[in-house]
Amino acid sequence: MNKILAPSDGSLESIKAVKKAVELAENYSAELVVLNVQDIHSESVSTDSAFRRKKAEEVFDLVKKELPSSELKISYKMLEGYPPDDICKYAEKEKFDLIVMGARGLSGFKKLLMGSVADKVVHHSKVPVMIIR
Amino acid sequence: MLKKILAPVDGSLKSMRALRYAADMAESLSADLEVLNVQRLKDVTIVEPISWEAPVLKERAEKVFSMAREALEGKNINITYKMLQGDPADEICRYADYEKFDLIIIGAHGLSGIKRFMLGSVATKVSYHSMVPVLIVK
Repeated sequence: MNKILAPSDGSLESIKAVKKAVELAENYSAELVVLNVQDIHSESVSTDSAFRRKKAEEVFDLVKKELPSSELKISYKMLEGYPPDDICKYAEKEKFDLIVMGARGLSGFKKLLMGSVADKVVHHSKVPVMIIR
Repeated sequence: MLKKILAPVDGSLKSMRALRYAADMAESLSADLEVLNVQRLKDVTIVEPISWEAPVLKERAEKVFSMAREALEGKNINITYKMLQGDPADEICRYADYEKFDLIIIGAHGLSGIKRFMLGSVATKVSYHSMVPVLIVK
């Protein structure tokens, strides 16, 4: 296990998943990438790339604040597109060994057992997926 | 961190692959591995209407476990075997929660999934309902 991907949208559940990913990466001394995908389809027309980048930065700041200090090498990556698609594509293209993600992020209803993004990633990803609750 | 890993298997090739994945993970994290086989009661009643008592189920589980033992040969980890009866997804979730496992590692497809689905019914149900983290291996 060399590369672990932790997609995060800044929600509490996703940050919990990132923490788990950090533990795992430390155990394996693997490389960890925190990924934030900005959804360009749900945005209104007024938003531009710079604004999305700022939003992604905010998410990364939230994640960084919550993470315990560790020796681990963590990189942060932002993509624009459709979150489930881009998570799967990126994980495959960059040959990740594992995706660690929360069951529900910002888009899910409380009532649902699993949010739409996690659901799609679990179904479509060729890379193993770990779901954290 | 991860001290107890649960690997449900049904004897299918895919589930054996997930089991090997689980064993590798348990080995490198020095965690304990439990191999779980759930015998679905309904299957038995349909195929063999009169012989659905415990011995038959146990025999079937034993068959799966011997396959598992073969797959796990040479692994330097603590492995236990457990058989349960009932609906596989329900029992997997209930057992993992009750026995406080840290992780369930399950294959995307088992015996009940149709190839064209991207995720089998048991894996889907477990990933929806489990309170324990679930790792799905394709």
